[in-house]
Amino acid sequence: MALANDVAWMGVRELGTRLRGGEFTAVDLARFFLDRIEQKAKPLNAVVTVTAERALDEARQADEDLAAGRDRGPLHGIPYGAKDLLSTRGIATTWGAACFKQQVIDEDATVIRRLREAGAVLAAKLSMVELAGGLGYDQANASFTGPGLNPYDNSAWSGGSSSGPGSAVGAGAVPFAIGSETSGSIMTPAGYCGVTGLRPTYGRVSRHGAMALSWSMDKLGPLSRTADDCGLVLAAIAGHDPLDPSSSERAYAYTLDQQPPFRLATLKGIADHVQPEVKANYQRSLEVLRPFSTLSEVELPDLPYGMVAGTIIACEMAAAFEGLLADGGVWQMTAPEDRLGLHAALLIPAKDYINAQRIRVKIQQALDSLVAPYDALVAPTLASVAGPIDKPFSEYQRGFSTRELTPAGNVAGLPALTMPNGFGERGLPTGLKLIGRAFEENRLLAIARKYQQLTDWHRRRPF
Amino acid sequence: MKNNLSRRTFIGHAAGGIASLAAVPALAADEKPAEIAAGLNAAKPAELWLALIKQLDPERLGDEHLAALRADVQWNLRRSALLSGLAMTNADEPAPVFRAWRAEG
Repeated sequence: MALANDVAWMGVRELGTRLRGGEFTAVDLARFFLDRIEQKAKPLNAVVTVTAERALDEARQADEDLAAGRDRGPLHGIPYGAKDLLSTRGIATTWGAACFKQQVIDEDATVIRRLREAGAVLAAKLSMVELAGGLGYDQANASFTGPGLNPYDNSAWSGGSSSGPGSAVGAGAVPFAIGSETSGSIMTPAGYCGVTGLRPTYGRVSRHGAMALSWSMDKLGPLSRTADDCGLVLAAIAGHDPLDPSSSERAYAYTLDQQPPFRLATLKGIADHVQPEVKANYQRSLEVLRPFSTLSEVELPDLPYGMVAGTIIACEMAAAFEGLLADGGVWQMTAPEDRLGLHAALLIPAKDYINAQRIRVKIQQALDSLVAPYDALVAPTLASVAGPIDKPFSEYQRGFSTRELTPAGNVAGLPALTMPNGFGERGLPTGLKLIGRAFEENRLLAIARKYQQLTDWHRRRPF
Repeated sequence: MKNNLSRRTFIGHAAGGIASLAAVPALAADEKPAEIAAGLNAAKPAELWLALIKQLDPERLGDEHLAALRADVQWNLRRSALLSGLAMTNADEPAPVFRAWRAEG
């Protein structure tokens, strides 16, 4: 059955309603999105492997289950894509790096297994920056699949390191995708590609089967059309996993019971060094939030967030990938700067790593005190729109900054959500970010749902 | 040595020992011929670090690579000093908490 183009832009809940209403089958839906992946996502360098056979098998199973009265919940029969750092039985898992192009880890990551159990349909392994960006890339062309391209402007970057998840969801090629964030890798592509992204609290989602870049900072989370979709996906993938000792014992249930008024805080000076359109969109977003929220202003404590994040990631990355020096794999990296990223990191003194982990405790305490009185901190997601693919980031982003908000939230393991809030330079999307207290994803989702009820930025399409 | 050292006094003794160890290379350098000692004293930490990096991959790392790595090394050294400079007490423990473990729980 040929489905209407509008299906590509529907949220998970609406797709599920139509599937159960008999408007289409899960196999129809899988075929439709497999075609979208070929037509829309592949030209954006967003795809590593189309998992058509597996998708159609899972979709047939979903149809059989529904016919037999076995409804697995909101994700039943819904296609999705997974960042190619998640292992999948019988399918290559490349970590975005040429030296791992042939790697098959013959086991489903816990997240993939949980999504299968929830009835979701794996349609593609999506591209990513090589080794999730841990080698210090400074350009879009940092993956063997080529530079991630933005669906709104193919000469602009998609963001990274979850490049494929950002641009595939942004292009309407999958309803949702799973990305990972060590320090910015969900927020950045979601923000640049105009989609909604959720970085769960550290430990909320098992990383078993996911490539380790930084054991103490890696997190997995959804990118999708809406905050509501993010909540539905998080509910399916969250929860303790004995195979990941860092996963939390705290149970998670996605609920819709949190209602306004919300207590929000802005960060002093947060928009002082952002692009003018980013600032204007941020200020307009605050006006949308104001009628159903209290808005206070707070100051980010003066702590060395970036240095702590940089030290921890560099040291853990060096331990994880030391072998690439001996086998020469590091010299096969696409971005020239990534070929040298491991060398200096290998010799960072142990006391620097330990001091960073000691300062991290102070950062956790300071940020918890800062966030605790509020439901969320509000900020622009990024200081600029996506840069051109042919310019180093350090050149395009020079002079723009949201201070140290990205490393701060990541070092502390706090949840964050980004949602589209307008367009900026060259017609590229901008985003609004919410940062919450640890394990308070539902507060962020509630604020974002309300914002998305009142705006239509999340419904805009690149084509 | 007394048998009833507290953790704090033990750490105090240990710190003295570590300080002594740290002094060893300098004493050893003083015993080398004057020109070598002078060279070592004059060498900047970044250059020594780069020399170590060169040893990690001597076949592949050329001068142009080392030149590109110099900024990384200088940043690492600066970051090291800044991290060490942040006020912390002996009681400030690192974030990951180690726990004793048994297979049967």
